[in-house]
Amino acid sequence: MAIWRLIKNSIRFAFRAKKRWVTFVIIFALLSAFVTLFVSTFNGYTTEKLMSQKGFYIKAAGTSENTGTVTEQQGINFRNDIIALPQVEKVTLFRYFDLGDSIRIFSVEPDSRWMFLEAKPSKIVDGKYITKNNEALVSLDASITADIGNLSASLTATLHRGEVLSFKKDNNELDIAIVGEIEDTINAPGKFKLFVSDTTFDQIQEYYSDNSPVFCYSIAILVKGDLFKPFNHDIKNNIEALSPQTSIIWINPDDPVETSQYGVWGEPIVPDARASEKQRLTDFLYFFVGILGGMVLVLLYNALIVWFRKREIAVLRAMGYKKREIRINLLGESLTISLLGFIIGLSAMLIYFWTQGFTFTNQVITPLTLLMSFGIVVGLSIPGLLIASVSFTRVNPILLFKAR
Amino acid sequence: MSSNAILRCEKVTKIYRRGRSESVHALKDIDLEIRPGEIIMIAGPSGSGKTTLLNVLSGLDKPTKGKILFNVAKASEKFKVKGLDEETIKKQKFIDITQWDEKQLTEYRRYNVGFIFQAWELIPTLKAIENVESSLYPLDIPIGEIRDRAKKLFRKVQLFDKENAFPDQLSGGEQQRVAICRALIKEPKIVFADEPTGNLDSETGEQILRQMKLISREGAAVVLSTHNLELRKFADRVIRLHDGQITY
Ligand SMILES: Nc1ncnc2c1ncn2[C@@H]1O[C@H](COP(=O)(O)OP(=O)(O)OP(=O)(O)O)[C@@H](O)[C@H]1O
Ligand SMILES: [Mg+2]
Repeated sequence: MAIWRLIKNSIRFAFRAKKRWVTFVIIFALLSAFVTLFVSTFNGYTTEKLMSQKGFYIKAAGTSENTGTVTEQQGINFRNDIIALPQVEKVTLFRYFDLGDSIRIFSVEPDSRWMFLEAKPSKIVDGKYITKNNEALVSLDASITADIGNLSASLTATLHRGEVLSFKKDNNELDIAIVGEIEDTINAPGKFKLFVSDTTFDQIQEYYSDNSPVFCYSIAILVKGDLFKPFNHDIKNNIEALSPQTSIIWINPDDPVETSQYGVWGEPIVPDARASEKQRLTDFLYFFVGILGGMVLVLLYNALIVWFRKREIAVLRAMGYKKREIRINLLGESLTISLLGFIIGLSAMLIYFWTQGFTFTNQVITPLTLLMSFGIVVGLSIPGLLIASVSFTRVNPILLFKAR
Repeated sequence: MSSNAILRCEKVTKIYRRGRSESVHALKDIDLEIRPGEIIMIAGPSGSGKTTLLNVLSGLDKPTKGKILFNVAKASEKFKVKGLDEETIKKQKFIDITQWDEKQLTEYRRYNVGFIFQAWELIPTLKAIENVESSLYPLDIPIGEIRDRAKKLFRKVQLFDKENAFPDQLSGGEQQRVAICRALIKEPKIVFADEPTGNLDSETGEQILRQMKLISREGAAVVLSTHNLELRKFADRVIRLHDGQITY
């Protein structure tokens, strides 16, 4: 009970103080925005940067035409042989089949979503990425014009986020929720594109498509090596070792045996390993500067609070407040200011991103990023104040008996 | 010595050391007894040791030598002395606070001592009434009761219309009256006031002292320091300090 009064009092301390507290709210707002940005460079390594730093693609040749060049079986052969190589960490095959003349369905496993170059989460325009079976993304503003034969599908002319696509055959019905719209760069004119999980892909293909043939669109390869070790060269070495193997040795279009085994693939699209290594270093620098800067500022602020509130601390000590009670009072004040700053800074940043066309859903800023910057900006206030409050012992109420 | 006292000091000496060679005898062998309900005025010129005496009596500072005995039998009901059961307390009655550690001294001040400072020291971010109430926030007293007590005190010092003013909206005399309320709301046994009228004009100063006198009639001992002997008429006893010694 008494503790609530102390907390309430600490909020008064925070809100009713003079200009300097407004200043600090602004500082914390800026801090929150910067820390979030810096931390999100780190976040890139679990998402956007995964492929550009640690992997490469190979596209099947001629996929813009209506018939594919690499069959599902050829793609599987290719994948199985690549995955056996020592430098490889993960290989994902992106497949498609055509449903009638104008619908093309792609498989994207949610776990490998950042590996699909043409339809990765940062290309989401509206809604969110698929996270489970029976969810689908649609290509932006795509419309269905085609007759899809003897299938009865309840399709509207265009499909948007929030709508449900139902496949019906005999007495079976499969409902697929459209969860997002994506700006895809897949070159397939006139096709309405749908992106679903592997399981849903196989299900539609098997039950609702009269067994249309499945082709491979692309293959994405992640090499071994730790992204979080900026001075380690494993990634660069593995990419440099692997990319020629996958293109020159294995896929020779002039070799009829290989072609029949693997199909015809294009040249690997390989990032500049040296440049990305440099990029990785800069990002880590940003990340540490962000975190360290945040920490230093938070600790400094808490030290300042103890300094600014010296007379108040002395009065409360003289009144017989225990040190713990004074800490609650100061901590409440510090948390109020930093929380306020965090909320303001973050809202400002999200609004900025929103005006720039980003949305929360395309994962530029993820919950993990928010959690980390919250931890730094707000959470660190607790140990920060505890450290700063060691100097309470130097605040002696005796100073109050000396007139100013 | 009568056992009627609330606080008693025996041969209290305070020596400040300045550097290695120099030392100042701020208090020398002070014997003093403070009884409930009386106003004691400590008078003396600047540098005579008034502040030092208040500091050691209130447990803010420790004397170099001597005992400061607190009558625990007359202590506030809520005050508990760690490590002492009630039997011992009844037998002993007077306990030397110079032996207490910081935590015990905090408890001593929390329940038994009120302060009024020369520069008032109201917390600028709190309204007048919140300043007064803040004395009791950490204690287990319902907020309704705290509020009632504060309002009653405001009426007593004739500040009832200033409850929601912030300290910087109040005159010096008003601020000092708020400070009095803040010291009194916890119903302390002893109120220490170091030059409480030092920053006030003489008329306002006398008004403040009149109010303090009313307060002492309710049972609290008031120990105040001043170098203005004109104010002696408000005191029950005047103790003159000179160079750290009591002169008569
Ligand atoms: N922290 C300290 N260190 C060293 N000497 C001190 C300290 N505090 C006080 N003194 C000295 O002790 C003596 C008594 O000081 P004290 O402040 O108690 O006097 P006072 O009677 O309150 O004076 P005033 O009326 O000016 O407030 C003075 O000589 C002073 O210089
Ligand atoms: Mg003094």
